Amino acid sequence: MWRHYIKTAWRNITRNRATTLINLFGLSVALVAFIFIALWVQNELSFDSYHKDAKDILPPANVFLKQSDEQPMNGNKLLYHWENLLNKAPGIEDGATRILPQNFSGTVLNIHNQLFAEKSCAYVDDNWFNMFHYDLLYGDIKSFYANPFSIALTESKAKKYFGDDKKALGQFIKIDSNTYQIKAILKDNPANSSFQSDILIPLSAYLSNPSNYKNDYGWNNFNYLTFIKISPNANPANIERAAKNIFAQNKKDSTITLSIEPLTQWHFDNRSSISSMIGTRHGNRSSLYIFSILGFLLLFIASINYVNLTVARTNARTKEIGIRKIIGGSRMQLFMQFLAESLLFCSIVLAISFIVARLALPIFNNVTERQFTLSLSSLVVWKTLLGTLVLLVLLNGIYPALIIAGFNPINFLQGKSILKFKNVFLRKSLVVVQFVIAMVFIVGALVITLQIRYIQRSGTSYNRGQVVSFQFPFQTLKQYNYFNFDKDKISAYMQVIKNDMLKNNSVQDVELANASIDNINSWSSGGWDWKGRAKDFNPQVARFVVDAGTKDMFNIQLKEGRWFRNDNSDKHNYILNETAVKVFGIKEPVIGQYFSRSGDTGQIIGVTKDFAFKSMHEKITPMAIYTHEIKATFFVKIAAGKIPEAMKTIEATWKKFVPDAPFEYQFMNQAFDNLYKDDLTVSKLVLLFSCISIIISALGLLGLAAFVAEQRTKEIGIRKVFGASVRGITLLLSKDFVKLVIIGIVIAMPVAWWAANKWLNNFAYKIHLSWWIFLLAGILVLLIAFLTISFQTIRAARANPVKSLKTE
Amino acid sequence: MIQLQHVSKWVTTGNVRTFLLKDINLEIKQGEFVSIMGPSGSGKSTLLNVIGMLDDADEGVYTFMEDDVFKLKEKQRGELHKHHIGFVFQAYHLIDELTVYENIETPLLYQSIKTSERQAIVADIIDRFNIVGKKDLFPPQLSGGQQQLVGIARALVAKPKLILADEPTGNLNSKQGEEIMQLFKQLNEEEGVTIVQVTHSEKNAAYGTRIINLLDGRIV
Ligand SMILES: Nc1ncnc2c1ncn2[C@@H]1O[C@H](COP(=O)(O)OP(=O)(O)O)[C@@H](O)[C@H]1O
Ligand SMILES: [Mg+2]
Repeated sequence: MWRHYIKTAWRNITRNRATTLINLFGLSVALVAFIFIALWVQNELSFDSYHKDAKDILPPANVFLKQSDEQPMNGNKLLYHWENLLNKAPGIEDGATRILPQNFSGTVLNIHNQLFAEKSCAYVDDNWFNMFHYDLLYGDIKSFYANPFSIALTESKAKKYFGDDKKALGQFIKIDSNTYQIKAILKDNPANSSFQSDILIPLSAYLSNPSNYKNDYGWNNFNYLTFIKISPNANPANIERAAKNIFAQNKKDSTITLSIEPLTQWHFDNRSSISSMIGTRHGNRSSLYIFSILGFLLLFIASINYVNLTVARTNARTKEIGIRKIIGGSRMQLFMQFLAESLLFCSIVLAISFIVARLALPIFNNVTERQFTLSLSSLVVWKTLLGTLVLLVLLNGIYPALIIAGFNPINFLQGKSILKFKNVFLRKSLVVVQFVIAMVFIVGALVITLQIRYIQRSGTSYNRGQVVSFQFPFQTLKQYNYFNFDKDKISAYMQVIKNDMLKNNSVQDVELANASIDNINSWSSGGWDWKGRAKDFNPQVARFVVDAGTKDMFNIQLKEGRWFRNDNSDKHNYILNETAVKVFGIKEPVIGQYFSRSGDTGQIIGVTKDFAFKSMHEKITPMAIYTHEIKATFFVKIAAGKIPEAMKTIEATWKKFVPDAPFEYQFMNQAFDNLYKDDLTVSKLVLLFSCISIIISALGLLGLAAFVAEQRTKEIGIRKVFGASVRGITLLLSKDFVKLVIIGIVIAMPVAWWAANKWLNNFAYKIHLSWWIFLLAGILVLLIAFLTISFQTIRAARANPVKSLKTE
Repeated sequence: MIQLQHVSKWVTTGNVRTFLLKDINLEIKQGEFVSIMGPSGSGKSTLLNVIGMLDDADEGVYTFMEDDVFKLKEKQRGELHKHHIGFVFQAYHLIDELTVYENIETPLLYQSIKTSERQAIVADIIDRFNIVGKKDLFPPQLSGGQQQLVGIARALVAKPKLILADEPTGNLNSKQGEEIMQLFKQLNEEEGVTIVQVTHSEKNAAYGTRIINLLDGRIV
C-alpha cells in the first residue's frame, strides 16, 4: 500500500513541474532559514546547561552598583570574598569556585620570543574543573593544579600558537617574568557556554605574588567571578539574603546591591557586564522570541503556497480521487494517500534544505559569530529535523488531505469538481495572510535600515573618518610608577610619543583622551559640585578627559562658550554637555559658573551639543569634559589616501616606546560599527527574510494566477472571440488578485506599525515612523505582486482563442 | 439480492419538486443479467448510482443482501460496496497516472489483500483478458476498446457479486461493443455474476435476461 502511495505521489510530483518547483523552492528556502533560527534558539536556550547540575550552580553575587536611577548600571564584578558565605549559609553543597579574568588590554604571551596579546586569559581556583564541565584532549587536570605555573588551553589556541594541538602539551609560555608550562589541552568552549576563556592558569600562581594577594584580599575588589553550588533543595532566596547580610556587615555602601540567579539564567541577564570579561555576549530574550516568530512565519507563508497550490491542483485530480473512491478507497485510505504525498514531498524539501544549510553554515556562523555545527551524528540535529518534518506535514498535508478524503464521488460522476464554492474564500484569505506577512517584513526591513542609517549618519555629530585609535598599555610599561603618577610628567612623556608620530606627514593630527569617544564608560558619581547642587544629589557623570585639539579632530559642536585653549590656562576648567546642564539644573548664565571635581575647582567655560558617546540604545547622560588628568588613548588622524604609510609610522612609534607588547589598534569607523554589531546582524537578517517572504508570496501568486488562467481558458477564449483586447483581459484576470494584495497591505499597516515601534523602543534615539515608509512598502509590495500576476495573465490573454475553444 | 421498495429521489428548486426517480419498486435476483433502457435523462444513471450506493435516495427502502442500505453508516456501506460491487463506465474512468497493471491492482490494495495473493489474482485476470503485452502502458496509450477491457478487468478483479455498467459500450464501435457484451454474458452464465447494465441499444439489451424501461424516473 505504502509503495503504491509513494509511487503515485512521485508521479504527481514529477508531472506538475511548475507547481513542484514553486513549492520546492519556497519551502526549502523557508526551511533553511528555519533550521538556522532553530539552531540559534536552541543554542541560546541551552546556554551553560551542559554542566552537571547546572541549575544548582549560582553565579551569585551579581553585584550591581546601584545608581540614583532605578536602573542598575555598569559593573557587577563578583566578590572574591564569597567564601565567607560558605561557612554561614545553609544549603551550599559543593562549595564555590572563582575565576579572575584578565583582559583589560590583553595578556602578553611570550612564545619563543614572539609576542601575542591574548584577551581570553583567566585564573581559576582549585575547584573550577570540579564545578564546570570541560572535555580534556591531552594532559591532565591534576598536574595542571600540581604546579601553580601551569596552563590549560583550548585546542584552537594550541593550534594557533604551536601549530599542533598535541605538540603544544609540555611547551612553555612566558607571561611577565614567569614561565608557565602547558599541562592540559581542552576541547574548544562550546558555542553555548558563557565561559569563553581560552587560556586558564591556576589562581595560586597569581596569588603567589604577595602584592597581588594583599591587593585582592579585601572588600573592595570586584574583579573576581564567584560561583557557588547549592544543594538541589536549598532555597536560593535564603542564600541571597545571607549573602546580602554578609556583604552589608563587611562593606557599608548603599550604592551596591546584590542578587543571585541560576547559571542557566545568567545568559539572559544583560545587567551583567561580566560577559565582556570572559568573552561571551549576553543573550536577548526578546530578539530570541522575535526570530522564533519570524522563523515560523516564513515556514507558514511557504506552507500557504503548498496548501493553496495543492488544493488548486486537486481540482485537476477530481477524476483520480472520484475513481479511487468508486473502486473501494475509503476515506481513511485516501487521507493517508495524500498525507503520504505531503510526507514524501516534505522529506525531499527537508533533505534539500539540510544540504543547503550545511553548505551555508559557514556564512551563518560568520554573521552570528558563533560556531554552530550541523552534523547528522548529533541527536539534537535529528530531533530538530524530525520535529520540523512533523510540523511541515501538519502545516501542509492535513488540510488538503481532509478535503480530498471527504469528497463524494457522485460529484465527479455528475461532472462537478472538488472545489466549487467552499474553498475559494479560504484560499483567498491565505493569500491575504501571506501578503500581510510580506508587508510587515518589508516595513520592518525599511525601518531597520533607516534606523541604522540614522545611527550612522546623524545621531552622532562627531567625525570618525580616517581616525585610528590605540591604547597605551598601562600594565606593560612601568613609567607610571617611575613618574609617580604625576600627571604633568606623564603628559610630557605622551607628548614625546605624539611628536614622534607627527614627524611623518602621513599623520595629520594626534590627540589624547582617557577613553575612546565612541564608548566612554568612565564615570563617577560623587565628588562633583556646582552652584545650587542639593547636598544628596550625586548623579552619575561621564568623564571625558581630552587634549585641546580633540574638538577639531572629531568636529565636536559647541552650543555656547568656548573650547579649551592649547596651553595650561584651562587646567581647572570644565566643559559640560547639554544634558549635564539640564540634569544638574545649572542656571543661566552657565558660562563662568563654579564647577568642581573632587576639589579640583574651576569654571564652566563651554557647553557642547549632545553627542552619542555610547551606543544609541542608551540615553545620553551628563558628561564633563576636562583636560588635566591621565590620558592614554591615542587618536591618530591620517592624511587622505595615506593609510598604509601612516600605519607603518604609528607601528614604528609603538615599537620604539612599547617594545614588549604587540601593537593593537582600531579604526574608529569599525569601532563604531562594533557598537551596533547586533543591530547590524538583525538588520541583515530581517532584510534577507523580507526578501525571502516576498519571493515566496509572489511565487504563490504566480502559481494561483496560472491556475486561475487555466481554469478560465474557455471564458478568455470566448471573450477574445467577441473582441476583448489583451489589455482588457489582463486587467480582468489581475483584478481579483490585486484586490487581495491590497487587502493584505491594509491589514498589515497597523501590525507593521506596532512591530516597528516596539523595535525602535530599544533605542534611546530613533527615527520618526512617518507615513511614507508604509506607503513606500505598500507600493513596493503591490508592484511586485502586479508584475508577477501580469507575467501569467498576459500570457493567458495572448493565447490563441480558437485553440482553447477547440479543446473544450 | 437487490430489492427497492417505493424508492424516490428528487431535487427541489424553489418550491418545485422535480423527481429524478419516482416510486421505484424493483427486485433483482442473484445471477440475473438486467438491462435498463430509456431515453436520455430518464434517470437510468441515477438509478444505477443508487443501486451502487454512490448516491442516496430521498424516500423508500433499499435492501442489498439483507442489509437496509439507507440505514447503514458510511463505513459499513463502504465495506458492502467495496466487496460486492464492481463498476464499469461509458468513459472507462481509468486512472491516467497508473499503468494498466496498477489500475487493475488498486481495488485489491484497498481491500488489503496480501502481496503474493494480489499478484497472482492480477496476473490471472490480465492473462484472461489477453492484455499481458499492455500491462505496463498508461491508459491514454490504449484504444477505447482496450481501455474498456481494462475497466472491466478492474471491476472484476475483486470478485464482486454485482457488476453495474453504465452504457459500457457507448464509446465503442459495434465490433468492440459486441466483444464486451459477449464477455458479460460469459461472466453471467459461467460465473454467476449478477449484471445490471444501462444501454440504448436493443441489441445489447438482448444479451440480458430481463429489460427494465424507465421514463421520467418511473418504471414503465
Ligand atoms: N443532482 C442532480 N440535481 C439536479 N438534477 C439532476 C441531478 N442528477 C441528475 N439530474 C437530472 O436528472 C435527470 C436524470 O439524469 P440521469 O439519471 O443521468 O439520466 P440518464 O442516465 O437516464 O440519461 C437528468 O435530467 C439530469 O439532468
Ligand atoms: Mg446516463
